[in-house]
Amino acid sequence: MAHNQEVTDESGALQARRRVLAYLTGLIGAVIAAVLGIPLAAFYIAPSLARRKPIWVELGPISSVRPNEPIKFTYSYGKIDGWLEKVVRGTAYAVRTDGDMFVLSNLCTHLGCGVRWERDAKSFLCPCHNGRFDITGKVTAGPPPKPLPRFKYRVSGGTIIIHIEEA
Amino acid sequence: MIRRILAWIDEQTELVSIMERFMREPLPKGTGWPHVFGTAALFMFVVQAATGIFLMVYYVPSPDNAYETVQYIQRRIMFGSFVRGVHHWGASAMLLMVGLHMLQTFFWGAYKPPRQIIWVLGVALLLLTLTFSFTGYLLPWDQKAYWATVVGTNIPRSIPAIGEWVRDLIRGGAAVGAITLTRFFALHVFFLPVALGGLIIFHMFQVRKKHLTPAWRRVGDETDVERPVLFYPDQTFKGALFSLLVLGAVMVLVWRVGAPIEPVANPADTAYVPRPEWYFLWLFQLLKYFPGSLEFVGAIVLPGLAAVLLIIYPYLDGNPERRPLRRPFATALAVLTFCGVSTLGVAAIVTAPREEKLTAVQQRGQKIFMDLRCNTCHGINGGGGNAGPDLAQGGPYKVERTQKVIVEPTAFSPRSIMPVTQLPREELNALVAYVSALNPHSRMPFMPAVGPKRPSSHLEENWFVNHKFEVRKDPSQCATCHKRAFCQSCHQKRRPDSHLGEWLKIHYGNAVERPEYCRVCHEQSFCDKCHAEVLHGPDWLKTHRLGVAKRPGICGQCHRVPESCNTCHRGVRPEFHTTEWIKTHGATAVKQPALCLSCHSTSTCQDCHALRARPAGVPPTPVKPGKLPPETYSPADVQAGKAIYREQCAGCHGDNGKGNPDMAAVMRNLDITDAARKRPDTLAQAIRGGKGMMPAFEKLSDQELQRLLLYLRTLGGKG
Repeated sequence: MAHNQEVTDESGALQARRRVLAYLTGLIGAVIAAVLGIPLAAFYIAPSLARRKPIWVELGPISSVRPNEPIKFTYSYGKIDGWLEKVVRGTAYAVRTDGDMFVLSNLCTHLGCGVRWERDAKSFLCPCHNGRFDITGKVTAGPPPKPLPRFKYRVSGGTIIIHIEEA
Repeated sequence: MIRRILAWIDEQTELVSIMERFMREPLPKGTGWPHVFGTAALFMFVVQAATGIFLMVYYVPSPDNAYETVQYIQRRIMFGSFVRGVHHWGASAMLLMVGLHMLQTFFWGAYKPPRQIIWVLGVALLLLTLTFSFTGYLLPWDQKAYWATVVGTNIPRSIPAIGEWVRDLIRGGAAVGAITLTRFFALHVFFLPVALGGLIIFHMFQVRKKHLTPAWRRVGDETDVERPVLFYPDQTFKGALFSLLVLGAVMVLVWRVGAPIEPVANPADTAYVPRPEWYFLWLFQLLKYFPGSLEFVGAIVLPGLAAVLLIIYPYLDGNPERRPLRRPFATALAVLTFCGVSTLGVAAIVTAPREEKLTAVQQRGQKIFMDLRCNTCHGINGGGGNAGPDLAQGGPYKVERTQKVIVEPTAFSPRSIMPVTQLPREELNALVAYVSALNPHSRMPFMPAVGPKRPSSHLEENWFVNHKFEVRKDPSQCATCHKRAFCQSCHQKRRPDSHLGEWLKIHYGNAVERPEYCRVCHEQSFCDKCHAEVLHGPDWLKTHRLGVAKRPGICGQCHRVPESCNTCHRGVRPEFHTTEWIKTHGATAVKQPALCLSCHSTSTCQDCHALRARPAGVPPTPVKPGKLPPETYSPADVQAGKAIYREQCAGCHGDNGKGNPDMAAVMRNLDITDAARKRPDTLAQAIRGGKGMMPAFEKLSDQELQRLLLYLRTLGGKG
């Protein structure tokens, strides 16, 4: 390390100057990191910050819902998925019991299979693991941990409109 | 705190002391601002890597999605245009830094022993950086991307023998397409960064090992060099400050200019003028000076020689001097090369064809063109819909005609489906000025995408066919995206009751050319229900012939004229006036000759049929068929006679010689079975010379006539 002589013989003034330069270098590095880092971080997380709009979807005419007989509706709505525009489809059961009316999701709360109404058994059956729900969506048999979820709904001009919460 | 963490890391790994030893390298006297370009080039590489990695978060390397995702980055994502802008301009900045770094090392003689290999590695880095730029071009999949790649990948084609193969290898096929995109992507984001990163480390390791070139020392004279400058912090400060300036310049460009994006790649566009980025302009210009047969020289040999010369130059240059003025040849060579390349680049810019300049009125017209969405149906050298003609191909147009078409689309083509446009006079004039000036060099104005990619459009080929089941099963699906009136805007006219008049005008072409479109919703019987009635049966003819004769144009509303007419009517031209035709039409023609006469003149019939008495004094053509019928004949003669009969006579006289029933209803004396047996001479005379309505078959030879008579004799039943 013969040519390292100057390094060890630093005078006090040179040392002070180098300390300042080191700090300034660090400062410039920090500025560059911030100027690039902050936009890049925002660029990365931006889609997760997007405001979610409430989605209300027309289900069908309320007149077709008869008491104690769940009726199946399929619904679909347009969804913007990044740079694509897609159509999302789903199924819901509209149910009218004595004095009450509600809209059930058909997705089993166990592992998400689609349940179906069995008229003879008077219950919803999940075909995957034989989970059973009664007409109000309460679990009566099998592994499902929770009752079938209910959609918020309103009726407008004789049409049931449900509120979809995006997963 | 930080010190303690660093101390712990150092104790565990010695990493900090290794870095410190590396960073605190003493540099020779004279090292300073001229030496910052290498640092800046490395810095720009890091910036490119960082922004590139983040761009990859959203980018999809597929022709279906690449352009959309770039638009998405550009417009929808926070800081998207910034990140893309930095990456775009950063590429230029990096190349500029690499170039300046090379010039600096050349003039400082840094490539001379013992540092030749550092120069060679540097040239490799330059070539990799250029490849980086070239592969990065294509990724946005816009016009510039597509065409620059088409042109660039065509260059190796000029190599004799294997050129085509090399091009296909680069493209991954004969054409620039999906495979080109994915392989350029893989090169750009993986192979090249790894190669470049590795080479940079090797390059820097060699610099560290052999130290920086002491300024202006002769080769071999490096023993007592003063080294008062520390790489860190003395030189790094300068490097960092300069890098910050470069980044600042890049950001100003991002802010003021932004990263350009052109319309989506359109291989059909013939008007696009591809221009490479500034750092390839010299090569682009160079190619202009070489005629086709010598293209190989300009495209491959010269640049290849230049690259080889760059690589081996340190080993060719034996001059131990480092001061530029003491090595005039090298200095002159560098200056000349630099000037030559710059001149070529400038020449390329100067000679570039100017984009067509629109007048103020035409610009206004262009805006109206886009505002009215004329481009939904009309392309201008591609880039628009295909429902109407591409306007660039037929232009420029006559001003009056253009105006007439816009105001009254059916003026020249009655089948036009173009909507009527009503504009204030001033706007109309502007639109006409723009449209009439369109020509094969015009380009579709750039319409930035306004939303995410939509499902394929109904105007696209086969959409109806591909979607019929979905649409039929659940029409409500359409409503998930479209307003209720969307389908109705076209389809209301498809209801049977409106399936007349205007509807036919607009849809006839589709219905004939693509009947499958109709069958998406309608059964075949749907069409037949109406169309059976408009077949040209005798009743139809009765009621419509006059209309047709007076205004044949009316047929054109639904039918293609004249093809449609000819499917039947060619039957009355003499050459088609066959037995078959007579069988089906003869009776009508006799009963209602006016029908024929609605199109034909009387002489058409008289050409064959002697409807009028033969002028006095003209003797009938004499018959000399010899003895009738002959004594000896074979069954083959009878068969030949039968064929003649079937072809020439059966239309009126029927297959059995007793008269075609239809014809018999309107003509007398059609039964010829008796005459054939009892009066063959008279019959022969009638055949040859004609009689009443019967045309004269003058062209029958004697032998044919004999055979015909032989056959006729068999018709009576007695053989």
